[in-house]
This record gives sequence, structure tokens and C-alpha cells, in this order.
Amino acid sequence: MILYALRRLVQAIPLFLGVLFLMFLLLQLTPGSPIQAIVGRYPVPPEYRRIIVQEYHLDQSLPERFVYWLWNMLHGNLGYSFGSHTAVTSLIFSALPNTLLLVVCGTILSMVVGIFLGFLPMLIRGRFVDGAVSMGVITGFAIPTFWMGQILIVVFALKLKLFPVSGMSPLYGAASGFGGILQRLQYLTLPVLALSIPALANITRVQQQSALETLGNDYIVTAELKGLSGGQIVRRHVLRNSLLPVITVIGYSFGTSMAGTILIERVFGWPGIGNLLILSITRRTNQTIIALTMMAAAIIIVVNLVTDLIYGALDPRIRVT
Amino acid sequence: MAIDEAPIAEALALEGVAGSRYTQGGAGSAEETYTPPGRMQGVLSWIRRFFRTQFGIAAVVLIGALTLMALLAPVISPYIPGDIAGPALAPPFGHFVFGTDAIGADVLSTFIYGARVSLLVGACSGLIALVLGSVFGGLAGYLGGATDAVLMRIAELFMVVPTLILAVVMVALLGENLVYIIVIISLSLWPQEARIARSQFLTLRERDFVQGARVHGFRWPHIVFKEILPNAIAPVIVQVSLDAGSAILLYSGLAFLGLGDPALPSWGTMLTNAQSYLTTDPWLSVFPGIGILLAVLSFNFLGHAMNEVMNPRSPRVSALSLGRRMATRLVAPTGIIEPTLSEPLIERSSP
Repeated sequence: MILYALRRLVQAIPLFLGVLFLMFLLLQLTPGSPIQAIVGRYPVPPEYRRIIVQEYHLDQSLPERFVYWLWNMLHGNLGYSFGSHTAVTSLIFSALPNTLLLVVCGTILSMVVGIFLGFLPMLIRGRFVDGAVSMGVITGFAIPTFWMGQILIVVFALKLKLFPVSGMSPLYGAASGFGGILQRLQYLTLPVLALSIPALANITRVQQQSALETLGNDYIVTAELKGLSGGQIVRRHVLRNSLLPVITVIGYSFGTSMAGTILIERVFGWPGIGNLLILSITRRTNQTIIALTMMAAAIIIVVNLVTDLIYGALDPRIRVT
Repeated sequence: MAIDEAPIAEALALEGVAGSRYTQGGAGSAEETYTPPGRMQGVLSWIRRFFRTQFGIAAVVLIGALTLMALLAPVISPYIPGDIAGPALAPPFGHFVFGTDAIGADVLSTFIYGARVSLLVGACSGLIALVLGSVFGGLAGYLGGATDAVLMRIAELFMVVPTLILAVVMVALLGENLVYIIVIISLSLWPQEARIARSQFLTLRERDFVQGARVHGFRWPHIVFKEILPNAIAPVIVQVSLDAGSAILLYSGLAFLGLGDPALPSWGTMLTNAQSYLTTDPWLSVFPGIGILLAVLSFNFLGHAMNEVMNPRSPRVSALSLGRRMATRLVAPTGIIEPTLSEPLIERSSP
């Protein structure tokens, strides 16, 4: 197990370096001077431009520049945002927890509901349930989440007045303690619902397929020959064994949700890294854009690593290959 | 595995079985004896089966309607999109069927013109992803070894950063021009196609008919383009159709963030403009959203229909009562049924 974990870790590191290289390549392709590419089209003082040239060794050759760029990035030197007059790192760390709250809640919701929906055709046999779930999955993949967010706002916040329209907490009179948690949940509900749709569709599909494939195994035949009833087989054998493949898509779902927050945070005015990204795009502060992308990639690589390890811990066969 | 020389020797050993199909014609040159068995008939029956699926009919109707709408936009739209046509924010289902927006432009006209950019982005990105994916995936699967390892690492790199983030960053840094955006979207989609093409090439290059063609002395262009590619391409095309849907979703997301081509009316931009009027005029966001949903759905239907035609044995719960499955098991002993080539698909979800 330790060997397996180490091997996975070693595989993840070049992947992250690759993402860094991709970002560097993108900066080279950006129109304008290299200084402008790093700083963006935001007006910054000339002293800062000199600092940039010095820090990133922009007067050197391309490979050397990459090494210095890598050096800066790996040391957490992500630059200074003149749009907000703060260091990019502190900008990110103030917005990141809000986004993670949204994404983690969305992933948990889509997992619980997705596993249930995907398994539903096993519990209630028949053409109707199976068809309804499959159709729901196809539609779920096709719904634009940001549009769904707008519709949810119109129906549940504006017409029925059940939830707040936007933001993360009331502008004044925020409750504390248990009331505060309830209030936060109220603000969370609609964005999480809209955000979780694609991940929900994905997990449902995988669970549905995996349950079907489990039915084809020999131990199901054995269980049947033993005289177990259909319900017993489904509960005892199919459910537990079909849960394994779902774990592999959690990391992927987390990634899609992470990307989806960019749109959802815009719709709901959620103060997370998605809104920060849009702000830095309109302000053309490229350092923040690059830093945010790398942060997102790093988080996704870590989540993928963790799901791989969980999968390896649960299923010994994975560790061998 | 050292694949490049070994198959010839392996195939020679198999000649009694595999070579027989190719040597039936006797003396003549290899090109003359080898005729692909009834390709036209295959295509015809394929189309017939395609139209027998519900998804197939739905896909053709939807895509046909959207394409007509996009092509005939100047003819059927009542006003010029973006031009002031009446009072601002007029409600729908009156003189203006979809109402008017904040500056008084007809929403229906903008909606009709919006179909153009969506379909264009979907089709072009899908095609580029098809070419990129089959070239790189095919190379990786056919050559194996170091080429495979390097190409697949690159594909993995593009897959670890979610498509939407990648597209947003690239468009933000490189510029909001439609050609750029299409290239960027296909750059973030191709790894999926490459993965499928790779696994197809990987299994097919070991098949008897490919070995047979090798034994016959065909060079690699013939083997790759005439033998493997026609058999490998089907699942890739299914994925392309699903990814055309993803491309439409991606583009509307980009347009929603203000990163679409500013010169072209699009459904995503309409939704951005609607965002400010949610409290007073919620209908503004209803129609463009339905447009996106239908466009994406139509390509997903297309993919599902093609998958159903090519993988008729993909299981459905409704057909599986435990008892009946037992019966089929006993009738069909394992080993006779060939494993289906294509793994059932849809690996990518929407952004």
C-alpha cells in the first residue's frame, strides 16, 4: 500500500509540472511584450515592471526564463495584483474557502443523490424507471448550469421567496452560532443545487452502468443458485460491489464542479475564486489569472490522488497494476 | 512489447486461419483480391437501424430544425438583431413573440441568429477534435512504446485542467476571436477522442485481419487507413458528437462570462444581459437557455443513437430479469460471443 501511494505521488508531480509548463507556454503565446504578458494590460508603475524583469529574468533565454518562472511559482511568488492592491496569494486565500465550501457541498450532494438515482432501476424494475433515469442523465449533461441557476433564482428566490437571491451572507444582521449555520445553508442551497447538476448526471450514469455490470458476475449466479431472493441479491451483493467504480469518478466530478463554480459564482454573486477570476479577466491582471488556474489544477491533482489512494485501499487489485 | 517486427512472424504462424480470407482469390496481386465486404450495404443498413432508434429520430429532427433556423436566419427573423425595434422590455407573446430586451431589440431575432454561432462552434470544434484525437490517439495506439507514453501524458495534462477553466484562461489571454475560440475549445476536447482512438488501435492492430494484411505485404499507410481506421473510427465519432454538445455548452459559458466573440449574437451573451433583469423581467433568461439546452441535447441524442446502433448489446435493465439472464447464459457458452470492440462511452460531462 505504501509503495502504491508513493508511486501515485511520483506520477502526480510531473503532471503538476506539466500544468506549470502549459501556463508558461500560454504566457509566451500571449500577444504583447513578455512583461505585459505577465502583468496584463492593467496600468502598473514602471518600478514594478523593472521588478518583474528582474524576478523572472526576462532578459535571459527562453529555457532559463522557464526555470526562473518555475522557481518563482514553486516558491509561492505569484505576484502582486495592482487591481486590488494586494498580493495575489492573499487574494486567493481569502476567496478559496468560499469556493471549496460550494464545491465540497456540491460533490457530496451529487454523490449521495447520484448513487441513489443510479441504483433506483435495480430496486424498481421496469422500463419506466430505467428510461426516466437514463433520460435524466442525458438532460443533466445538456443543461447549462448558469441558466439553471438563473431559473432557480427566479422561481425559488424571487417568486416563492424561500431563499436569498445572491451573496453568501446578509449585508447586515448576520446571525451567529447555530442560527448562523442555518443562515449559511440558506444561502448555499440554490448555488449548490445548480452546481451539482453535471456531477450528479455523471455519478448517476456510472452507478447505473456499474450496477448493471455487477449483475453479470459469477457470484451473482452463485447467490441465485443458493436460493437468495432477488431483493436479497441486490441489497447484499450488487449494491456493495457496484459502489467501487463510483469512487473513481468523484475526483473527476470535483474537477467539473471546480470549473462550474466560475459560472455559478457569477450568477449568484458568490465571493469565491470564480468571481475573482472573472474580475481579473475584466481588469486584465494576468498574474492573478495564471495563479488561479494553477491553484485549481493543484487542488484537482490532489483530489485525484486522494481518490486513487482510497480506491487502492478499498480494492487490493488496483494496487498491483 | 516489441510489436513492430513480431506480428509478421506471429501472423505467419497463424496463416492457416487468418491468411485464408486473403488468399482465396489465388494468384493476382493483393489489391485485386482484397475487396471490403459490401461497404455500401453496411452503411445503408446502418442508416436504417439508426432511424429505428428514438434518439436517432429526435436527433435528426432537432439538428435539422436548428440548422434550418441558422441558415435561414436573415429570412425568418422579423427584425435585425440588436436594432431597436420597439419599446424596451416588452413582455413576450404580444407583438414581439419573445419580447424585447433592455434596449428594445427583438429577442426572437437575436435568438434565431444565436443558433448560427452555436452550431458553427459545435460542428467545427467537433471536427477538429476528431482529427486531432484520431491522429494522436491512433499514433499512440499503433506505435505504442515511447510515442504512446509521451502522447498520453500530454493528453492527461489537458484532461487534468477542466475544459472550462482551460478555455477561459486561454481566451482571456489570447483574445476573443471566433477562430481562436473554436481552436481553443477543440484543444480542450481532443484528449477524450484520443483516448478512445488509442484503445481502438491498440486492440485492432493485434486482430487477425490486420495481421493478415501485414503478411500480405501491405505497407503501413494501407494498414492504418484502410484496415484499422474504418474499424476504429465509429466509437470516436460517437464521442465527437457528444463533444460537439460540450463545445456548444462551453461556448455559451464563455459568452456568458463575456469571453465570446463580441461581434456575433449568441445565447450565452443573451443570458448575461438577462442577469441584470432577473427581478423585473425573468422571461429574458428563459428562451436563450432553452435554445442552448435543445442544441446540446440534439448532439447528445445523436451520440446515443449512434452508440445504440453500434453497440446493440449494451445492457438495459428493463431487459434483465435475473431469470432470463440465467437462461441466455446457459445457451451461449463463453468464448463464442466476441467481445464488443467499443467500450460504452460518454466519459465527458458538461462544464
